[in-house]
Amino acid sequence: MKKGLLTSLAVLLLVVGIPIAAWVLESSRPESGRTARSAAQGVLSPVARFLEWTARMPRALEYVVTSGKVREENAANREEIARVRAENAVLREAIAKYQRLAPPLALAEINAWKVIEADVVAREGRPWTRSVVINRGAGAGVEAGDPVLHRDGLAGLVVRVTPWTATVQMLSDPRTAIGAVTLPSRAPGIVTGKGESGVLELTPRDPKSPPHPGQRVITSGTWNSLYPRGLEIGEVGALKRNQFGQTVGEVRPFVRFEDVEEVLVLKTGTKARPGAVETPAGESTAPTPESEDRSTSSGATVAPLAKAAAPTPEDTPTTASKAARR
Amino acid sequence: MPPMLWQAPNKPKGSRGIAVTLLGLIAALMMDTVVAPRLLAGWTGFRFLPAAVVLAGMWRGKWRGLWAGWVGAFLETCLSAEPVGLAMLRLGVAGFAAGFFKGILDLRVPWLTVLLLMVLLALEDLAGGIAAWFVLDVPLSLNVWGILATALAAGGFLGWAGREPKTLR
Repeated sequence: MKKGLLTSLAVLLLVVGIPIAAWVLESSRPESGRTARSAAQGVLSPVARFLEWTARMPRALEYVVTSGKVREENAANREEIARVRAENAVLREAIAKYQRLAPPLALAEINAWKVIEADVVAREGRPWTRSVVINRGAGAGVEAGDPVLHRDGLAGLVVRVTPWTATVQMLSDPRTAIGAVTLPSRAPGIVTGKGESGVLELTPRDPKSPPHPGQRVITSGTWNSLYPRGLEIGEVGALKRNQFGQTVGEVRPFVRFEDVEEVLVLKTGTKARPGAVETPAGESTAPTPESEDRSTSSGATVAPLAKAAAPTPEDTPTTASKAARR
Repeated sequence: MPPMLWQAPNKPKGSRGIAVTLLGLIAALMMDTVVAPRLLAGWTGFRFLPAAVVLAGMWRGKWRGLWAGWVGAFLETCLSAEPVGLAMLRLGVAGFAAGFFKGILDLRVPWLTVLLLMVLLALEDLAGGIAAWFVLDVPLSLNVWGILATALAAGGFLGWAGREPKTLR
């Protein structure tokens, strides 16, 4: 019994006493045992590092095995990033283009016009002709005589159509003549191109009521005009006398014809349609193909078209109007 | 020095000459109406098509210069609203007049070519301007900068194309 008790005490002393003694010794003399522990750490560290390295081996082996696949994925990712960036640039350009065309698109929607969006692909500028070629033609529904709108105002008139392209005679072409009114006086007149890019000329219908500088000029849109009413043309600048002694106004067009990149071709329904009857409110009672197809190429939804009319000499793009004006 | 395309011993004959002229006219038209306006913010002052007609006249003579002018007029009016008759008038005059200087390219004097180009391009511009003044009441004007730029560019191209080839020594 005593022997058992003594053995227990010895074990307790060994298990508890020696650690306590070492703890006390370490607390009182921190440098004691540092050398031995450093030596042990020096021995054990390589072992630990080796074990740690071997523990990483499976991942390394996995990388070696899958590196080819990773490279392929990287290449695919790079291609994907490049594609997305290109798409992003295209979409940004599309958004910018839509923002540029938003005002004329809104105008077309308000007036229930069908519109065809087009880009300029070629242009010609000589004093005797100012025209551009657009990338929409008869295949897209463009017809000769359709007015062409730019974001800043009226740009010109389609004069020739092929299946894929159309030629637009700009306002500045000397053969262009448009019925117009000045605002706010609403004095009627004729705007003609002068062959120069930034200058048009307004000849008032009544010589006694000449235009005034600063007045805005819009299309008059008489009942049989090629151009609808209210399209902005420009602003009256200096006044001068023409060769007949009449006071005419120089008109600074809102559209800079050199900068025209994209345009809207208006389908205003001004072509003569047999059987169409106009109500006093200007609404056509006859069904039209345009009224059945209310969607536009740009996605805008429009109402049925209104007017039915034939071209008038006032608005024709030919030299006949020039002669008539004289 | 080997003779160049337009020089006497090496001139393309027959259908090859026609093909070279036609391709030159089309390239010049594209430069005038598509490439230059796109690169130069819508500026349409270059006159490479009339320059090509003038060079065709200098190269092939009066009558072929006239034909080149008329073909060029047809091509140009395909991409503009200009009356074809007016274009035929001015380009035909330029091509025909250039024919009086047939053989001038064989001299290989670039400044002379540039000078003649300027004169003949001015003639073409004036011919069109006078006709438009009569018919369309357009004020007479001369596209000085366009003519100058076109003549210098075309002369520079001819000088570059006719330069002495480098040889290995």
